[in-house]
Amino acid sequence: MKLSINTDNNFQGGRHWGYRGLSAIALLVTWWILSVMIGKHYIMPSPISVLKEMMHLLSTSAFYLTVFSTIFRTLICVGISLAGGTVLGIASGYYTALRGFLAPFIRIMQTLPTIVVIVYVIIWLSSAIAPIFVTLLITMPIVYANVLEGYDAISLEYREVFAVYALSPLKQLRYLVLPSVKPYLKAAVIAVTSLGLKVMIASEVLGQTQGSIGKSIQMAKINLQTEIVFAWAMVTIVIAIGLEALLKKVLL
Amino acid sequence: MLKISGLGKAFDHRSVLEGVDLTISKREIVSIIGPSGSGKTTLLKLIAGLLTADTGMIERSYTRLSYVFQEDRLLPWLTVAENVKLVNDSLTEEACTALLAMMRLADSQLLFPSEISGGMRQRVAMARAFAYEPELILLDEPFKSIDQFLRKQLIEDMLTLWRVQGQSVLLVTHDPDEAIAMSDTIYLMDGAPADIVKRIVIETPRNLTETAKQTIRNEIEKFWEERTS
Repeated sequence: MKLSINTDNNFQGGRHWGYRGLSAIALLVTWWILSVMIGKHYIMPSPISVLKEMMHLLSTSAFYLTVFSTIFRTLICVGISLAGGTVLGIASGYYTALRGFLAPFIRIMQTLPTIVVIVYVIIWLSSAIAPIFVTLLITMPIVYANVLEGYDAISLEYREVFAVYALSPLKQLRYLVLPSVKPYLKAAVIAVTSLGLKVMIASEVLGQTQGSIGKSIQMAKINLQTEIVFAWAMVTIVIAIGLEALLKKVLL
Repeated sequence: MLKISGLGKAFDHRSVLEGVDLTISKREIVSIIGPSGSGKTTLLKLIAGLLTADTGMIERSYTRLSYVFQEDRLLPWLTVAENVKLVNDSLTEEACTALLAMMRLADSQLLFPSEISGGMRQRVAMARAFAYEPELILLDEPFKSIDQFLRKQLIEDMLTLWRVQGQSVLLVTHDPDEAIAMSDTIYLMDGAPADIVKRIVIETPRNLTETAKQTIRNEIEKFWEERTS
């Protein structure tokens, strides 16, 4: 069998809508068959009942407040992560001592199960602050690592040019470092937005944060309203896709 | 301007340069010819301060130095004019335009490096080197990847700028014709570790007849033949 590298630009650009549509339909059909086979709405609700529940959610004003508060908290976290991760990433590029100092913390945060962080932070902080803090702890190391990778990827050739012409550190930052880390930062923004939303909701579930998507999911779970849990899951997917699309449009 | 004495450099205990002596005076164009891998680039990097010498001394009486690398090394996210202005904040728009016009790049100022040819990019790198208003310019085989016709043009462009600004130039090349066309003095470099093995002073630099050029060419070729036989 002969294998060759795919040079189909449409595929690389992720615009193969035909295959995506087929996959989505297959998922929906599988879901529907499973719900019919199980026959218990509190274990596996049907797509139709979830859709109905979603429409009901959309008709209430509390829904919009809830969604807004979770998105707002997530965006605050993404913003702080981006600012903090970028500053620390670049500073670690310049100062190897700082890189070494931060290395164990970054390693721990990258390998520690998210749930451990959530459970521990919830013990210490209020339910309103804990999800923000947890999301920051999870997302900032990702931004930091991406930015540092971008810094390390700056070619020696360019560094030599800046050294020969004795260009100031400020010029180096503006014309060499920032443009070099920009693609890595863009990738980080998209990655941490989806992840941040997931971590935020998980923290809200465990932290019982008032007026949040997480708390709504938790309440639905306690009352065995699985349709509502699924409806919120669908809402979360739509928000994640929407945010990612928005950021890609703004950044790429 | 620049005096190098007994310069030596080793990488991983392998000596690349040993006992190199070299002097460059004000407004002098000096060329170093040598086979590939003879340590010519290492010598330039030592002079530029990008590497540190193990032995010997470099006495500098200049403060501003430019370096045209083998590759253009232009920042891809800046335009041609921005790349040139990057190295000199006091360079006015008019001066930048005039400099680029001298390198026949006036129409390409607003283009990005990816939008121009390799030869043009090398000319931008050269314009950047002159924009810095250096007292010494280091040229590391800047015409290496450029075809014969364009190479002649570039040498002429470079000499035009040099006549205006009058800095010292150290050109590293493996092409005797480039060295003969530009230099006051030619050094031949060879050996492992490398050292200066011959010095040729040109009587009437940049104003040689074809016969005079051929005589120098023959002298260089004969010297290499004697060394290799």
